Amino acid sequence: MKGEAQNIHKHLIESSQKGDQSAQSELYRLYAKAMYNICRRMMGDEEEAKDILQESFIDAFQRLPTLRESNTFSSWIKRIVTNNCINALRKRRLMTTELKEGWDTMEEEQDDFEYNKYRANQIMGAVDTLPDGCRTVLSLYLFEGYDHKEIAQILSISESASKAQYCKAKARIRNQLSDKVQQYV
Amino acid sequence: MSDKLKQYVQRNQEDFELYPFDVAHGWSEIAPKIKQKTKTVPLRIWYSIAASVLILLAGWVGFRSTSGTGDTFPAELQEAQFYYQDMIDAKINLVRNQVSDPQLLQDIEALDVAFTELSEDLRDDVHNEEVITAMIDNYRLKLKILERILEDLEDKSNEENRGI
Repeated sequence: MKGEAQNIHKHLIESSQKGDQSAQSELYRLYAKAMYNICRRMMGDEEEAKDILQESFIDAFQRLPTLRESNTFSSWIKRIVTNNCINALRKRRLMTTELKEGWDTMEEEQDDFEYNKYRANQIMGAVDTLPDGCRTVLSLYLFEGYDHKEIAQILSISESASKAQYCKAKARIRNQLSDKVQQYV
Repeated sequence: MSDKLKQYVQRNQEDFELYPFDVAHGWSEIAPKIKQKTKTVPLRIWYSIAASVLILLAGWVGFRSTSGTGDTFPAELQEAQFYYQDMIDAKINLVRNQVSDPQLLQDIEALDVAFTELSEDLRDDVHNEEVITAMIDNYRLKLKILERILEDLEDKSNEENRGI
């Protein structure tokens, strides 16, 4: 069954490469929600996320004929989406300045926080309040599976700056979640 | 040091895909934009390729035909000419009946003129095997371009009928 799904997937990508719009539509249906979630987590804003998703799929379908290995489509489109988010965040300029702030010296604290006491939407609510820079690092590390070395390359920062931004993000999330709990106590 | 947040997210990955997205609406917004880019551009590229091939061939023929004889076309070429020209004429009429884009019509006209001029130039060296092959290739190229345009027009019309 897995092989069959892979064949259908391969067929969809190859037909889309030839400009078959029903295949493109199906491919979009399969990936749009996951890619939107990447945009939404990285941008922290619904409308901007939708704009970037649209731009990314137009980019992807236009460049699809150049994709040689159909089995790399998933990581390929994810990279297009994350790159477009990063470019949009760079345009805000705040992220670049913030990433260069002196966080390199920050050490990771012992993290005994009980995250599993919270639901995903509560954690994401806290993520949305993070400044652009550390939210970007956190999203790439936590949700998109990049390590700090890769994030450093993607964002043109040092590896230690990426780790420091991640620690800063986690500390803020913990504070946000604790405050929320205290509000209800 | 263990990262409890990372572990939590990994264990509950699907829960973090929490933002709803209207896929049908999203597609309706990007479909026309994809169509513009994937349908129109390749046609223009086809014209560029065709124009480049014609220029190269014309140059090559000019070089080859300095001692041309001005003879009539050999039977082999005449046969191919009748065969392809009939199909080309029919397809040109079909395209003209369906296309309203003035730029596209202008491109088709330009292509037609270029093919006619090339045929005239080639006439001077019609007994040369390479020239015959080049002329037949030209007919095939022109036919292929017209078929591609008609396929695109048909796709467009099917999509419009389906309300895409």
